Amino acid sequence: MAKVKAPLIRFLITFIAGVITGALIGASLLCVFLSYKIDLFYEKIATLENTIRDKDAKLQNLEKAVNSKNFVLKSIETVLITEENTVDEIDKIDIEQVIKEKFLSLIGNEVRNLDADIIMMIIDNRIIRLNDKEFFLQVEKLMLSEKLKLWVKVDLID
Amino acid sequence: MSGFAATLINNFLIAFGVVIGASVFAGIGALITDHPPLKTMLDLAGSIKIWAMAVALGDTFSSFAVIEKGLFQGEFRSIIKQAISVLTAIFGANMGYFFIKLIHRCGELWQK
Repeated sequence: MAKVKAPLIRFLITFIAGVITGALIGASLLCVFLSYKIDLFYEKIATLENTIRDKDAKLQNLEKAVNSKNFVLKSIETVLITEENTVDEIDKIDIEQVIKEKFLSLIGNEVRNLDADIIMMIIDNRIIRLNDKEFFLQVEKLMLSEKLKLWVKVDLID
Repeated sequence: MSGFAATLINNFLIAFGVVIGASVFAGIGALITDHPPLKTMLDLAGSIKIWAMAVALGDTFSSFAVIEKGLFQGEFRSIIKQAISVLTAIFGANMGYFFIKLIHRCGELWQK
């Protein structure tokens, strides 16, 4: 019996070791080869979620101002200026979201009632903390019409 | 192969392996925990470099002892040897980091 059992145990141990090794190698290769594509999907999801959130907020604020024929703020756009390879795409999407959230309450307000200097000061020279990283924001340019467009320089603080 | 050359090769490969292994398995972890894998790998590879170097050098106190001996007893050869060991470990860790960056770059190239 012992003679029969010993090879069986040997086979089982080797088989299990092989399965674990294969699983680890397979998972590693999968991670290496597919990680970029999966990251792209994450970026796409984050962008789409942001768009939905923006549209919702915009709709809500525009519903309030629907009957007025005044010149109201309708949308917000941010252009992030970064040095190459310092801020990755997912962080950029998150930063854009944080910036837009600060200005969402302005949508639907009359443009002549908005003060560009105060709008600028909301995010100028600010440090924001995201995903265990700190980013320094500086507003380079601001354009205020029906659309509020901000050019923001983003520096990663080490 | 001389003992010193063997140590250098070991240091390089250990530092390289620590960065690659940690990043790849962090990537698998990120997949399980619903985070972007490549971003996690890059972030981790960048932050783990210094630890990979420490792991490669292993017994860091002996390194300090060698440096102290070199400085105060005039054994400059051992200081130079130690410096080369440290540099090899740094090189290994950075090569690991660049390998992870290379995966990102390859992804970009194939996506276009």
